[in-house]
Amino acid sequence: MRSLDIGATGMLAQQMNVDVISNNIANMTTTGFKKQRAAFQDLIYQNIDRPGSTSSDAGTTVPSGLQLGLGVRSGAVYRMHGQGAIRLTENPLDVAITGEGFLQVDLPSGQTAYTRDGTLQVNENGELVTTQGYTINPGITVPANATDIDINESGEVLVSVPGQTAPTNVGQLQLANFINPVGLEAMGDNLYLETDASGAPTTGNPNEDEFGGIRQGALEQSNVNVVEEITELITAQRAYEMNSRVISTSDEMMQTTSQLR
Amino acid sequence: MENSLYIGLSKQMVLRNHMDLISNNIANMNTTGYRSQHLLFEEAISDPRGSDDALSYVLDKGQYHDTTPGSMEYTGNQLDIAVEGKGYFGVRGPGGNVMYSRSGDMQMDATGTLTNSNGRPIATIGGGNIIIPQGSTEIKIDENGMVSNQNGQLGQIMLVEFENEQELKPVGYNLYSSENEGTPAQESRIKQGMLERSNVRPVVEMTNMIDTLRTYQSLQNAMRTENDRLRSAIQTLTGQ
Repeated sequence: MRSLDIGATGMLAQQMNVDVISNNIANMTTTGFKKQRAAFQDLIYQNIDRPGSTSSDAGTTVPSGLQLGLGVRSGAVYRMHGQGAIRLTENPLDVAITGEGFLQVDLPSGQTAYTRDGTLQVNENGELVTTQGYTINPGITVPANATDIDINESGEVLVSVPGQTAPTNVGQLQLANFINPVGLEAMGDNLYLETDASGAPTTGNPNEDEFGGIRQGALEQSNVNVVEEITELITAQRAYEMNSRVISTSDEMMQTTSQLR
Repeated sequence: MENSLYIGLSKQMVLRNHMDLISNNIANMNTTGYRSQHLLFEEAISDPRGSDDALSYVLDKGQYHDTTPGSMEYTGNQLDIAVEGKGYFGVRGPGGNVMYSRSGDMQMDATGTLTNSNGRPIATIGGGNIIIPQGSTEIKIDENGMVSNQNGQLGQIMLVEFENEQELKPVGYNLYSSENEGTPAQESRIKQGMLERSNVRPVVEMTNMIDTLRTYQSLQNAMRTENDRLRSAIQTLTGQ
């Protein structure tokens, strides 16, 4: 019976759905995390009675035919890049991006990664780095004697140095944006890599063109909506159960057949 | 004399196909743009010995898909589209022929070509593909399917309507094929940032499934009774 296998494809798909949802819930409080969704596709069809085949000598044809689908497959898991809520932290090195754009990060391998996580820190050389210690690109060095750091909406980093009345501009935070951010490859640690599907990055200063602004002393929370995830989880779990019912029903039908005497 | 056995058997064969169809619907409960399918039964009359009583067998002659729109889900992705109304958008299938779909989770490939989630190019009214140039910042898709970026229009997604939607044959991967080309959409509109969920109604499918199983079992019982009747007839007639 095909329905046994079809039920199994349904259970596999829903299991993957639950995996994706649980990852979203686990990253509920991860800074800058973007939730994911599993997308499914129907499998190929088997023609039992071909549509358009002749049904009589007079040339009449079968209008719709009988085509049995063979189940479901998981097509893609894609990311939803909606804005997360902004939470105030009052930490001068925390920055949140309000709107489009990613901060650029230099990986030890020489590649550039992209992130929405603005938890910046200063390393031993005074450079602005991410929580992993990777420098941000373009690099910004804060003088050792700086007493105050101010990052304005357009990403200019201004420091107050003792003995000077006016703050000094030590650099400019730049953002990168992609035509299709859904196509970015997640590499963990809140970092993304450019792919063919994402397109090449366009860089620019915050608050210019399509780029979002920078908000100092705040962090972007994940865009996971817990209520939505829980309802999705319930749907996935019930769908899983219904698919298992398909299997037990098919089993019962086969059992009925085997009792034929 | 064995007719009743064969009538029961004909229905059982149909019920098995029905069960396959129901399980495919349940498996695709969360498939974007999927439309639930239902079986059409037909009565096949047979009159084997010219007797007065015609015998009705059951045949599964075809199937149809439920064309009620599925619920719309807001995703906010620039490359997600949903079709409002009875239209379908075109996807270039293998060999260049156009197939139709309602599952609008579109993507972009390495060359910037707009594709469906399976990597097949989205068909345009002009015949070419829609290519999103490097450096595009914001993609807008209007109600008629015109795709544009900040510098202007890039191409129009082929959106067609069919007088008889049952002409569309599902081929898998959320695509339908049709021999008829369809007419340019009049009443359908494209909504950007939305996706259409499947229109499978789990309650209906579960009820159908239980019904299928019970009918199958009761037919089995009827066949068993008939078998017992035949046996006792033979026993009585042969005097054993």
